[in-house]
Amino acid sequence: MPFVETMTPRERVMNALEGKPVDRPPVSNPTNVATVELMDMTDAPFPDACREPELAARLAATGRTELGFDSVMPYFTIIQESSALGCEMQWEEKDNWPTVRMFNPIWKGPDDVHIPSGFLEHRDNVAITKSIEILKQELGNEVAIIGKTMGPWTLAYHVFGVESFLLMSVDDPDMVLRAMHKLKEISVLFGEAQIAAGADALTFPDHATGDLVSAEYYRRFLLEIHQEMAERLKVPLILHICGNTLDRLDYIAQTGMACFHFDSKNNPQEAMDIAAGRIRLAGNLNNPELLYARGPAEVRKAVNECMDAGVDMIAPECAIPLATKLENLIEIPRAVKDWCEEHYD
Amino acid sequence: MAEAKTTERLRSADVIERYGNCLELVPIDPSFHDISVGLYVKDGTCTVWTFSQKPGVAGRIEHIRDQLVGLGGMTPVDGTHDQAWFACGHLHRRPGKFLLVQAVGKARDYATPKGDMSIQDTKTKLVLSVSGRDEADRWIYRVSGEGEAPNVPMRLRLVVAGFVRYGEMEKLSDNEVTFTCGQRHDELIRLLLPYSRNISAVESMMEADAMRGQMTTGTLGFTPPT
Repeated sequence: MPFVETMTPRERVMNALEGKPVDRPPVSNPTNVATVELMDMTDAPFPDACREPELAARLAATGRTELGFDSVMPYFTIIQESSALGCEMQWEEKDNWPTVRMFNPIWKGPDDVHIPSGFLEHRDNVAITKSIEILKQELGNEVAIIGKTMGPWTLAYHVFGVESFLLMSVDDPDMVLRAMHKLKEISVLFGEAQIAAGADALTFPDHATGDLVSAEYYRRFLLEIHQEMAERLKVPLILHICGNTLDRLDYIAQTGMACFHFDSKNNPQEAMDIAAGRIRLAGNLNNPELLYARGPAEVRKAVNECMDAGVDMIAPECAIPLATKLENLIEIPRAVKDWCEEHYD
Repeated sequence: MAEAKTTERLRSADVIERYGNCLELVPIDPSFHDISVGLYVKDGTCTVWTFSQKPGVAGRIEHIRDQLVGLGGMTPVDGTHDQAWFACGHLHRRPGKFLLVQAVGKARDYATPKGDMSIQDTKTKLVLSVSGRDEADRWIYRVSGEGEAPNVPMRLRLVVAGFVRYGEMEKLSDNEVTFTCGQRHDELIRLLLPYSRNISAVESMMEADAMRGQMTTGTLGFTPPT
């Protein structure tokens, strides 16, 4: 019997996030799958597609219409809220990611943290909320619409500067905790705005990455806040942390978040073993050495490894390189379906 | 192979089905609205493709295809404005990547070089030259250098290593190489010579190109780039 899909993409994603049965693991994009070719196809190039809702929606929709993923994600970057907070921006060109100029931070410590009036109305936040509304109208309930709200740790890098913030974490941990608790309100505010706009789930990137922050730091500064986020934001949350995170995955599994989007530096089977059903996993197809640099055959092999390990949602490990070739992305859902064809009765 | 105007609106899966996989993708064409340009390959036929629908794009694609012919010695596919192939019947993949980058990057009025295959060395005061000869049904290229340099044979060996690396050529001796097809490709030699004389700089350039558009903790500024 050939494998037959029995769920809509949205049902598939939402069930997977909630740990319910699925017809097959969804192919998702908790960060995003924009490429320069898709930008040309939709006439929605960076950086405009990061700042204008109609362009953001058009580009995001290709995740479904062109690539066959089960979700769409119109928040391509990690800088929208920080731009609205007043951070100095480097918008870059079509082929590169906008970034925050963190060498020129806007705040020195927690006492400076505040939400500016008109924060949600800032064009770079409206670009996200409005694009979610457009996608909801156009794709309806067919596809899962995933939004994104940055966690306090990432926001802290942007508003305080990386070096200053990491030094603060050594010199004055209480100050860091106060900053985290104030910054988390930005995460909640922007997350709730996206939920109101129609987001089915939210990615929650918080870059307590393995090469910057220890597992103990994660427990000390972020675990409780992430637990609080899971309670306050009333949609499934997908925590995203880059790098090797196996050493903190046990803590992450205690957050109450629906899913953890994990990096290719982590072995999928080991990650699944640690998660042990307490949190779902999405990932972990390598970007620079696989999706960017190799071909469909290698992509298929990596997808099969994730499927063999039982990874709940198959996804690139992070926002894909903007010059990724389309055949590699299209191969992901094809490989998932073929795996199901081979393994399901 | 079915030929379609580049302005035809095709889905990505259809492009791959029709034209094959993407050998090389140039993210930005500075000479034409910053469009992306890909070189797709199927059964040895190379197709210059863009998803852009900007007015005049078909003309730009034809110009790039013509640059593949002029700069790389490819043969245009009859009746097309966007396709070419290597007449030897062999797909020279690595040179093809450099070729597309050059074809897109050259100014629109760039004149294809002819004549001697020589260039000033960047590491010494040598003028590097390549000459070819037919021998036992293979076209063999010999690298030589004229001028002052501390160790000319060593320098030539490194240039030959560059041809092997970037041209996917076969090394025959310390100063001789041939293409794997055994055929004459003077245009590709001219194209590859600037790369082959300076491997370290080319590697750095390629690494920088590869990192552009990657979202990592390094490119985001969270850690020093690795």
